[in-house]
Amino acid sequence: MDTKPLPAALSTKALSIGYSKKPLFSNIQLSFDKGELIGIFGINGSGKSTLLKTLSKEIPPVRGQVFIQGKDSVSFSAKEFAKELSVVLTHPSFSENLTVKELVSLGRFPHNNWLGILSDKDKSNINDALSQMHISALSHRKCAELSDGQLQKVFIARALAQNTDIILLDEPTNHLDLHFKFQVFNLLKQVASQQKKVILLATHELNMAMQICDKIILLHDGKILNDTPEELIRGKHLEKLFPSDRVKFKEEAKIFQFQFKDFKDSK
Amino acid sequence: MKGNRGLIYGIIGLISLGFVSIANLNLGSVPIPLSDTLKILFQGSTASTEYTWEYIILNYRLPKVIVALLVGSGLGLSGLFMQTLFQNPMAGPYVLGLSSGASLGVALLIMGGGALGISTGNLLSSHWGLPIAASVGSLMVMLAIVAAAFRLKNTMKLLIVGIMFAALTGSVVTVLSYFSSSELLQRFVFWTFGSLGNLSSVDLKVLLLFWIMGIGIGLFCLKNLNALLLGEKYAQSMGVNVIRNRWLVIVATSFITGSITAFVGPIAFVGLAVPHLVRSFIPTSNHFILVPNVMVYGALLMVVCDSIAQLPGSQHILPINAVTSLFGAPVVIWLLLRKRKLNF
Repeated sequence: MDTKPLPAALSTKALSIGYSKKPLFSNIQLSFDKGELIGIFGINGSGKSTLLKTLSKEIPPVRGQVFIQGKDSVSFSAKEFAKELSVVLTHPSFSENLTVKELVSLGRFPHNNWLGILSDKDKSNINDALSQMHISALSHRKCAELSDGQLQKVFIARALAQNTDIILLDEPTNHLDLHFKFQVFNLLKQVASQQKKVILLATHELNMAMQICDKIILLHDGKILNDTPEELIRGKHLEKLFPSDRVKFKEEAKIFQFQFKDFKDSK
Repeated sequence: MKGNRGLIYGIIGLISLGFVSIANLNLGSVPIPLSDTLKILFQGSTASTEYTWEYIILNYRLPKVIVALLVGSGLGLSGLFMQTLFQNPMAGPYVLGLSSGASLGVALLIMGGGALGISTGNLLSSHWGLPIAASVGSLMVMLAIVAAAFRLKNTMKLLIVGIMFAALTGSVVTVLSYFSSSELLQRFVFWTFGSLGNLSSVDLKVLLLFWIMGIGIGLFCLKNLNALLLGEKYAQSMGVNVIRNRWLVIVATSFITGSITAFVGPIAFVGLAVPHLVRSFIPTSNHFILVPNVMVYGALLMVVCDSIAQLPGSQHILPINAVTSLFGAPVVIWLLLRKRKLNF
């Protein structure tokens, strides 16, 4: 018996993105399945956030469509859409009276009734999200008292509590030290593969992304490339990414290396 | 845990409100024994009480306490809604310029006629003149703000527009004051003092109707206001229709503030101070806990201020607006000094 292949969890068709009808990128064709962690990389101002905002319906596409499980994203109501896709934004603003648990609980917003009363299922989702991000011990702490790294985990936990198949994160490792960056990447990979979610994150941490992401979207030179790290290496796409010959990509280690000038000699 | 704390403080507030309200009914230039006040209040007319006392309590003091309850609870709620909507601890009904709009309406009615050479005598002498002028003024500013809210997606810009409206209407009032006669100016100044006791029974019913409509719309928005604690973008990503919600909150606040200012005069500080006061002993941002408490403690504050305004033991009554500011300003300063930071 023929079984119809499942539609991609998140896909685009002839998508053009940008502001005021002026496309930044045109004819974008993307398709992602559940369980994939996808890094979006581009230099500052290249359009990473614009792509994420278009996928999350914060701004409309200039042309084309975004599909969630094969269904045009325009056809979802705001509440239905919030059950399919959650976001983690840069520069979060929040009421400083909120505790960690209260903030994470807000993730259940699309699922609970008009009084916002948490059911047993809501509560277990919240506790799961807290424990997955290893922040259960911080539950009753005020968010305003947390470090940047801890706060980022709280916002990721909020997105996990929203329990959507797709999570979009805009530069979630900004302002974090190396150890927290490593932790966040690891946790996201774990969530994507174990809970079969599609996770897209815009990042400047290309070295880490190359090591751990299943796919990389490269925004470079007016084009969007979307492939596995291995294919991007094979296609020599990473070598031309930075306009300096002192930033070199080392294929075997999958990392960029920096050659600094020796200033001792110039004395 | 915080829910319990909110409930306990809510009950304490309600009991205190009951006591303070009865004490307030007992205050005034005509001394009435407490036992007779209670008899009149709970049993209606009794043979043992004097008719004059009954008349004073039921027709003057009781409506005034009811107005104080509506004004305090309504302004506290409006302040809380504005602070969440604008994500700004300094926001209050005044920031939107609604009270300034009402002041402009009243100033135009009282002083504008003379300045423009138009007779407003008939309207001014009628019972409805001031409330209509104040309501129209508030409504005009509200419509302008709503039009701006429709165009401006950024709430900070909207906040600045509100402050600009307040400045604009304030300057028109100053110009009118400059050109008006001392008699008319005095009349306007008296309105700005604020008064809880000048409402007829029809006025009270109209105020109650607006209060119920405003609170009703507001209660419908509570869950969305909780989502707004993370900002508009997060709220939108969680399924909140941010624009519709903003409209509803603005309309609710306009109903409450506009009607209160029209009938009672501009009451300063309550809208701003009460939410901060409540958050200082119930440290939460959850609107389902904050709203009932803000309403109870707003009402409590207003009844206390009214009791102080009557200067017990004297024949004088202070302007209520001066008392709320005298009480409200030190509270906000105390909170600022005590807490490192004010939250919304």
